[in-house]
Amino acid sequence: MAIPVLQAQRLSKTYGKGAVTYQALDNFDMTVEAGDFVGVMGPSGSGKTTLLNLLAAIDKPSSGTVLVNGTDPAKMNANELALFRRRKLGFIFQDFNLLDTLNIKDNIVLPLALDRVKPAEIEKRVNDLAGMLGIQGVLKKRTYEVSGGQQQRAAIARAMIHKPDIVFADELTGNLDSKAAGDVMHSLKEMNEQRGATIVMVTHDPFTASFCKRIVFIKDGRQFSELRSGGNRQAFFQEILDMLSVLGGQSV
Amino acid sequence: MTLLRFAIRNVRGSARRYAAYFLSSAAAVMIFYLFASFVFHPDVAGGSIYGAAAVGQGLVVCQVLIVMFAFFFVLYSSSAFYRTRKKEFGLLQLFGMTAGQLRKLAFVEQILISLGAIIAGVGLGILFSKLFFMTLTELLQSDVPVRFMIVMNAVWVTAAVFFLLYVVVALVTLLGVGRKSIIDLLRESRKPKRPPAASIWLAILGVLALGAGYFMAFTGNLMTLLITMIPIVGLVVFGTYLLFTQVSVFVLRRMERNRGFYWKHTRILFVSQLMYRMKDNARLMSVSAVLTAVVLTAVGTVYVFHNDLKKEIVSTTPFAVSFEEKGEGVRQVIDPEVLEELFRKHGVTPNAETSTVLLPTVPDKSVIVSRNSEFSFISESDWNEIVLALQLGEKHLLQIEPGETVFGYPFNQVAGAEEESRGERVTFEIAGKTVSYVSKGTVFTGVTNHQKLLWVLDDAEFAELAELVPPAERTVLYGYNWAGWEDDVELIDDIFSQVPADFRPYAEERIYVYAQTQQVTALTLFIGLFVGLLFFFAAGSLLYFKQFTELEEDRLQVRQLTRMGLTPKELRQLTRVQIGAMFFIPFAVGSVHALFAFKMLNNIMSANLWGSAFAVIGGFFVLQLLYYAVTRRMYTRQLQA
Repeated sequence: MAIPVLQAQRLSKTYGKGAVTYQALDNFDMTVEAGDFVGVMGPSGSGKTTLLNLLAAIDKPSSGTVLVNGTDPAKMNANELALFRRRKLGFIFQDFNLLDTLNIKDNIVLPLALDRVKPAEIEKRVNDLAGMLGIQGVLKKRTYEVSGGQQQRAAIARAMIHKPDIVFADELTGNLDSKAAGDVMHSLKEMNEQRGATIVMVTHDPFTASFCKRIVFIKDGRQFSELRSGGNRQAFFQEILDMLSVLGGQSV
Repeated sequence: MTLLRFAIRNVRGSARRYAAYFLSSAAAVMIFYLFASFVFHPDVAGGSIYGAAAVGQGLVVCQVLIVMFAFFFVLYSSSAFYRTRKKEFGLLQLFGMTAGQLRKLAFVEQILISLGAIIAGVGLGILFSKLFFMTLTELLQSDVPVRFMIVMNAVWVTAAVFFLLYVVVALVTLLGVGRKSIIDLLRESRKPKRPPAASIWLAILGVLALGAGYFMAFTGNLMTLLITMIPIVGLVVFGTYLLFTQVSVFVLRRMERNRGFYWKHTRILFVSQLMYRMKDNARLMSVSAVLTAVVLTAVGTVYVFHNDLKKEIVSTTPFAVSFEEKGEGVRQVIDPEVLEELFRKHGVTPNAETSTVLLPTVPDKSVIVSRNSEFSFISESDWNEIVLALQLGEKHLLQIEPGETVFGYPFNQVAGAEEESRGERVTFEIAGKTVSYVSKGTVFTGVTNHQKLLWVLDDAEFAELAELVPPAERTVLYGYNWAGWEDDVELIDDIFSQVPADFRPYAEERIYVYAQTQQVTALTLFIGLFVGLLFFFAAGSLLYFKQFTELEEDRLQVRQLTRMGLTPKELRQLTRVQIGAMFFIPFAVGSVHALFAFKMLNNIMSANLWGSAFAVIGGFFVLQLLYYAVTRRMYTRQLQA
């Protein structure tokens, strides 16, 4: 069997020191194979954002290891880590994280420009992605001139353009209305199916989660259960709702 | 909590933001106090120090400049402070503070800072006043020391002037406080930034204005100065404004369009950020550039005069001392034996001692000078002897053919001025006869202390003419020169005491002139440097403060870029470029302006002043570098906090 793209073993994260400590994550295991599309769900304070931060090498675990394609980002220095994030990982955030100072196109090309990829190659990749995501028409616009859905699809393009090993998404529909959320999720699903992108997504919205291939439920820092989609999104959505009510029904 | 305590807390909480403004204000107060304490000092006001009154007048002029400058500086700074605190004021209003209370709070805060600046400034002024007095009296070469004391009149005047200034500014800026709705105030900082717009026509106009100003300065000379001075300043200031508001945006846009250039590493970030900042910063950057140009030019000019003075004086007064006698063998101005005795007494050994015979004449034409001036013939060998003795340079050595002559003009050649009757035949009247020679042009150098206008002749022909002039009608110049003449003021005193009053106009020296002008320029330089540094630092403090207004935005951006995987090194680079652009682009533009001003000065003085010019620019560059380093350090700390 090939090495999994992402392998987390016995991850723990404790915040605070001395008497007032808080264990956000407790011996958490997780494996993501290439081409997977995993959702992480759980109530507020369940540790899902902590998990994402550890997986994405934004934060370091108190114990346990994260391996991305067999390498451990926790062992890198600040420079190597930054380069690792920029080359091997892709990020999509709730607040889009697009720079106001750049137009949509320049925002998308930023990871490649930073790595000195040839302009002709950059141009080709932007046009491919923009075509798939349906944002060719807004490439020249500034961030404040386009809708939230378009901004988030631009952010998806930016997260994908350097063909990262894995893409992390954090509540990417949190700032969008339901129509835009649907469009964005369809785009993300297409990225997963057609380009084979490996995606890990944190969300507390069952509709958003229903686009995933499988969902890991987390509660109080531990894995609670896991669901796999049978292929029918409507049915999967219902299963998620049922699971959430078992979880405590507090998450939505 | 009372309003006062709240205000004190606010000021303390944002100390770093106010630091540069506070220091610049305190520096203005300090320099004002230093100048005032000299003017009001009983030792000075009593008139016991020679030259102090004139210096006092200069200081008062500088004080007026300082107050005017401080007014605009404080006005700009306080309205900028207010703008950055809109969100804070919105919150306070949201919690139920009335507009009146808000105004009172802002007023009290400003007055607190102002009082602090006045106290700190006067305190520092008192601390440094002894040093200031010592330097001034040294420069005035006064034997009477100015005592150290706290000049109460100066304290009161300084405090009153600045307190009034601060109150007026505070009232003016507070007019706007509390007029906007809460939602506008809260949203103010979240408005998306729009890219600046530029017009190609305005950009071209800016380049043309600068080009025209530069061209006029580059080709300017003494003749055109009076007419072109104001247009040059106007064109350059206007051009600078357009350079920052239009040309810069235009250039950055071109860079943005060039994919090969723009999409290369961090350039994409540098260029886009610079462009966005241009919108807010263009005006400040042009003000900074103009201030830099003014300071560099003013300080540079005084420095140039100070340094170049000796060369200038030596070129118009080539001998340390020289006597003009009417008639060969006549020594009426000073007895040569007495003179030698005095040389010996002061330990002076002249390394050049010449006697030169001149024959008075009247030419039939004169281009450079009025025909009514006095002219004389000099022999080729006498001319060359002086040139060699005074080491005036080989290019001034002459080789005159019979039938020819060369005009010796005792001043530098003004750019564009023509030579005397080059190639023409000039007819001279001498002792009732007429002779004529072909003019071979003009040598621009002084060989006498007496500004004699000389026609140089071949030795044999000069000897022939000398026969026509009785010895009593000939003019003889006795010139003396020695090394280290600069300090021999007492020798000159002794010599002149031996010259009969009637003959005083026939003795010419340069030591007194040199000492006096040296003193004036040193004083001007000293006082001017204070004012120049103040302006310079205040301009820097505007930049410093401006940088801090971007803090929130930059923090957000640093977070965004870190998440994207920008390395710490690249982030540092980004900060360096951002702050560096604010500090060094205006400095560079100001320096280029100053270089053109120096070029004009070069033309006017027909001299090479580049050494002094670059020394001044280099000195201020080091200061700017320091200011930049401090700002970057403080800012990076805040950014990471």
